[in-house]
Amino acid sequence: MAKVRRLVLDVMVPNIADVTKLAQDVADVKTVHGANILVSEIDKEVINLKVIVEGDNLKINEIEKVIAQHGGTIHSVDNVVAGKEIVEDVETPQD
Amino acid sequence: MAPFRYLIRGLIDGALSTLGIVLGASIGGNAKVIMAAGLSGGMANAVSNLLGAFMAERASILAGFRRYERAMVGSDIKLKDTKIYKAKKREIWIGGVYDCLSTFLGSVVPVLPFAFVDVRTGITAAVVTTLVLLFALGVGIGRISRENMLISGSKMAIFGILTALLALSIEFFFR
Repeated sequence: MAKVRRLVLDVMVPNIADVTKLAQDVADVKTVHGANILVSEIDKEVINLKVIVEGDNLKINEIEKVIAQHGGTIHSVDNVVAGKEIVEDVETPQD
Repeated sequence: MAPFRYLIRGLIDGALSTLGIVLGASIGGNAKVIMAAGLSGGMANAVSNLLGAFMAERASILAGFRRYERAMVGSDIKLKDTKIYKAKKREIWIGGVYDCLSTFLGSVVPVLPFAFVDVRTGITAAVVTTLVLLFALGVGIGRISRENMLISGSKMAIFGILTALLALSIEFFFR
């Protein structure tokens, strides 16, 4: 089965979570090469994050476990890239 | 900043409460009794502050967590099982240890003079050294909060004088 190379996740964490530490812990997962976390929305109690993860053979449950350790939860999986190489999305006239 | 806050709080607590103990115990006129009472009282106060910091702050943090857990719609996450709680707990312990050690350190100040001078002189020296410590702490607090350092130091010293007067009046009552 093709390996998952990139995941884009919509994540919610409590406003007291340490986002820097979360990024470091996600990047420390064995199969992860790098992580990029963008804060998309902040309110009084929660922070919504866009978590982009790239790696060799990503396992979503491993990443989910790390996110949960920081009090977070995955709302949705917004993008999955799998296969021998990363295929970027392309703009079409319909876009 | 948090450890500094606990350091200041502990020093004030230890020095003031032990000043009360040594002034009260001075009724016996025995330096060894005064020192034993002062140091054991200071030690008990230090342990109580460690326990108090841990128990009270832990309860406050757990109560605060509920607000965040409710806001995490669609998740049954318990923040007590997360790294957030571990980090907070570590902070509390560090603060508690600072509080405990500084409380004991503060309690040594009013006791120390009795190791070198007679009881009568020791009483005056205990009040003076405690007032000097309180004034210095007040100056430090004034500097941090960018207020008038002299006023801040004087306020602390006045609290020290009031404590000494109250303790001496109790000692006088039992004389």
